[in-house]
Amino acid sequence: MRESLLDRLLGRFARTAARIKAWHRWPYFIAVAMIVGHRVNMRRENLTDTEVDPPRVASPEDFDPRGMRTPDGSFNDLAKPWMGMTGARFGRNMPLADTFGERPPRLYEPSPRLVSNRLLARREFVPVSHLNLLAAAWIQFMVHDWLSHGSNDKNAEKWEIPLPEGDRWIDGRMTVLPTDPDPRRPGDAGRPDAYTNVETSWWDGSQVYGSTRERQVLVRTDPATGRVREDGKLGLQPDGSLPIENRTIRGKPSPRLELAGVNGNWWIALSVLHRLFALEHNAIVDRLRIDFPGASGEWLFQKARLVNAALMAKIHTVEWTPALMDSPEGRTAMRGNYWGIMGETFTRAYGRIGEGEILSGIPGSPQEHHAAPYAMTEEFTAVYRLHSLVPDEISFRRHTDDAELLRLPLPKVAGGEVRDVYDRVPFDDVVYSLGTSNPGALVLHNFPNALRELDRLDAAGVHFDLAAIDILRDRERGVPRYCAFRRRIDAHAPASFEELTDDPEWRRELREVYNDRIEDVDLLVGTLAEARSAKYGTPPGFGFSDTAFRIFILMASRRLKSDRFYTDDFRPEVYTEAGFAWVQENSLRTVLERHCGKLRLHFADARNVFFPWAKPGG
Amino acid sequence: MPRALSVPCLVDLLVVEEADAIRVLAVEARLDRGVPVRAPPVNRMIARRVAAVLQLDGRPLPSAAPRDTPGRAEARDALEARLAGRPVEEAHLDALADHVAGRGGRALGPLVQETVGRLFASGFRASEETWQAARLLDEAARSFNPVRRLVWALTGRVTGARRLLAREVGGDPAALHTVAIAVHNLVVSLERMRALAAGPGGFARYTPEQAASLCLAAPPRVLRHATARGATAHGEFRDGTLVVFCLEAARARSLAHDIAFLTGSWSRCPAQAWVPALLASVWQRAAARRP
Ligand code: HEM
Ligand code: HEM
Ligand code: HEM
Repeated sequence: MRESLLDRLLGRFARTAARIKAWHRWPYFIAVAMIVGHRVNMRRENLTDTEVDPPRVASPEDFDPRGMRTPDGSFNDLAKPWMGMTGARFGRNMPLADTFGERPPRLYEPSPRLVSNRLLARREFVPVSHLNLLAAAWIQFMVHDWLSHGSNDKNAEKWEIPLPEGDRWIDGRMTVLPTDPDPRRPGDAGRPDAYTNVETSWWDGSQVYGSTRERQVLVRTDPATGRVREDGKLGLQPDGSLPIENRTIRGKPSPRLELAGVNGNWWIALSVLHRLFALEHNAIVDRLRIDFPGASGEWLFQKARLVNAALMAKIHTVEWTPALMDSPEGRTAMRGNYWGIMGETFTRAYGRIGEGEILSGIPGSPQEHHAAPYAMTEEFTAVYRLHSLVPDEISFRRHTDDAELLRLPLPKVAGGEVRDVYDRVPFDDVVYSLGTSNPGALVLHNFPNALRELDRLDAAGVHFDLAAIDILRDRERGVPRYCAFRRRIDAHAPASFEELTDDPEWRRELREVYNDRIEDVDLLVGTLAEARSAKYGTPPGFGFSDTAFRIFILMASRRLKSDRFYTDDFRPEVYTEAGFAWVQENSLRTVLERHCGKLRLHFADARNVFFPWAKPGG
Repeated sequence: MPRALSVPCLVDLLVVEEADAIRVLAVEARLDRGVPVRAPPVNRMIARRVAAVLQLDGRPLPSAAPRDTPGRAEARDALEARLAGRPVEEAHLDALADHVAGRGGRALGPLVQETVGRLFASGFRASEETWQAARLLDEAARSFNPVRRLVWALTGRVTGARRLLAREVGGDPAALHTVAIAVHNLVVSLERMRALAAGPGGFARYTPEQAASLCLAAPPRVLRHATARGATAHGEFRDGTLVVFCLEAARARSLAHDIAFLTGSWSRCPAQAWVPALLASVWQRAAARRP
């Protein structure tokens, strides 16, 4: 890869200007140039390969991987067919020397449970009043497409998180299974542990379709007949709801859990999105069949998947992200990914401008992996630990008059209990309720308490505190702590608690928990604390931190840029004319219109469907 | 991509800094150690200079010997076997740990030299004199400074230094390589370790194995020359091209031990397991002193 002169200039410029002040405090055009420049620098320096012995690739047999996505993500890159496939390793956004996992005693300094109790626990729900709950579910929906570390290492000695004095944790002791590292190969000598992604790393809708052939067969199975549908559609119940996967999770039978490509950490809002995009898949199949009446169910399925995945990527880029980054620069940068800085109208009307992506956006530009093969990264996982978005309870209301039907705590709308909600509240009202509720803000003291005492009936009656686990996992996997992390992404690293946050109360609490050591502040805690730092922290209008934003701009564009189906093969010949047009013409707004038409009036006036919807008479 | 630097009839270099490229080129059959028969003048000069320093009685030291030098691979295997699980003397380990823990004591250079010298000669004693001899040999193998080279040639200092060290290790060429050349990598590694221990998190931040890996110093550059024309995915070379593996730069980025020691190749270092084990035990002992 060679950087263009423009790229290099922007990269240097971003660094120099950032020394004076952070990008979001510069005027608009300079800020946009800096964002692009930061991305150039990170593409060069923040992509580290961890693969020493890539996974074996099975030959695709009767499958033509040139025009379709394989179930396990292999053959997206035809030269390195293992790239991004199920079971490939997570990469890194840091130099390897910075990524050795922390081990006791350092792993417990300070105790993750202390951090959870004193800095993360929600005292009072802090909402984001300009977003609705679909925005929270959406990002979890995407995360389930991109990554998972899979189940933990059952044979390893458990971590034992020290309980702070006076802590009355229900289980008495707080033990956590270590993440299961990929077995070490000869080439790993001297290098940090690496972990594998049990999902495909591609933006391929694998949360809907699964990351293995077996899982794909399951979601394509008609619950009525028990056989794979021959029309290329996903299996659904007659009323359009998801099938049930009668499954046992971690020893806990879940006879009513809904089926999806990924149905872990399931709750009502996630279920809604899965249902919408299963319906969307089936709608795409219907459309394609008009042009290709003789096509096989298999072919229709695969093409519809291609289209559905691209639509989700588009929604994420041009609807979700702008909603979370409600600032002019943020919008330009992200919309730039999909349509280029010239804007969607220009690109749609006149086609691509030259080969460069800065002007014209990524989809349809040449594929490029930059400094390392494409993979999800540990640091990306870390900055997506956005659990504070989740509320502790949800109010279900009727869309016709906003009358409350039911108010349920999070555990009652999660896992297999989701079906119970649908039994009592019609689907449209559920969607309406999510569209008119707010997610939690990404600030300190806003971690849902329901997730701090998750019931995980393992073999031995284990609960867990997801807040403590979020902290533990980043340390365990060698994600640098906040200050070290910031230094590596060209961002100002606070030298004191005063620089970290403007809130005097937070400063005092942070100082106590971290024993006055600013360098010890955990990544997650730092990103939440910087929400209240005007100088270096979260840019105005942003729903997430500047720290996370840097990783997003690097990785978001990479998800498009590395993927053959968003670059070289993003064209009507591969997607079909109708499929390509479907991606261009649709959005979450049209998906909602199609599958929840009755709610149209509620979101018609929302500038963005992730913004709160109108209530009747309101 | 490796960088090619070539001026016809003068010089022809291929400088390799990426781990992947080094892995491929280290096992390339058309690249060898030693002095090329046909090569541009600057190439020949560099190769001859190195060969002139890294020799004993006109025979190249093992680290400079061509691949097919009789007995080289066998001697390397024998040494590797001898080193397997071989501890260093307690007093040395203590002194090294003291150094890493930030305590004073003996100067590091001679201390390390004595530690590795004892692997070969049980009575080896390092002194300021033997240490300076090692520094001189190491410098002579790298220096391009013509004035210094002239002075060395006139005074015979390099020859003297070699003779001194060779005598101390009973004329064993692998031992000479160790106390004169390899010793410097270990010294740098231990200096890094001391700095790491003094940094944020101190000893608690890293396990012994992690610290050993972070601090390991590989030779900055090792040389090969092409014995025939060839092309690989990682660059082309002609007969006589000098190929420079920038091992330390590649190791720093990849942290790969197989790069630091060229483990997967015919030229692998026989101390490839012994060195990390030593570094780890030094860290462990130092940590026990100053948690
Ligand atoms: C009710 C909602 C949710 C539940 C019950 C839930 C539960 C969990 C659990 C149990 C884990 C694994 C913890 C471990 O490492 O052992 C996890 C990881 C994670 N969650 Fe959530 N979560 C929820 C919502 C969200 C949301 C809204 C996001 C937003 C992006 C999110 C992002 C993540 C990420 C990035 C990880 C790390 C994944 C990995 O390590 O591979 N989760 N969550
Ligand atoms: C595929 C259909 C489209 C989608 C999904 C879409 C989505 C969006 C989103 C999410 C925003 C930012 C919302 C905000 O925070 O203000 C936006 C802004 C905007 N869109 Fe679209 N749009 C679409 C089509 C169009 C078309 C066809 C035009 C022009 C004819 C257009 C012109 C604009 C303009 C001028 C803005 C405001 C620019 C800005 O603030 O960055 N959009 N669009
Ligand atoms: C940080 C410490 C060390 C590093 C990084 C290192 C690395 C290397 C490397 C890269 C080579 C190959 C050089 C080339 O092919 O041009 C080599 C060769 C060699 N090293 Fe080491 N070394 C270290 C310490 C030692 C020690 C302590 C000993 C002896 C106990 C030793 C003995 C040798 C020998 C004998 C060879 C020549 C092998 C042959 O016959 O090809 N090295 N070393």
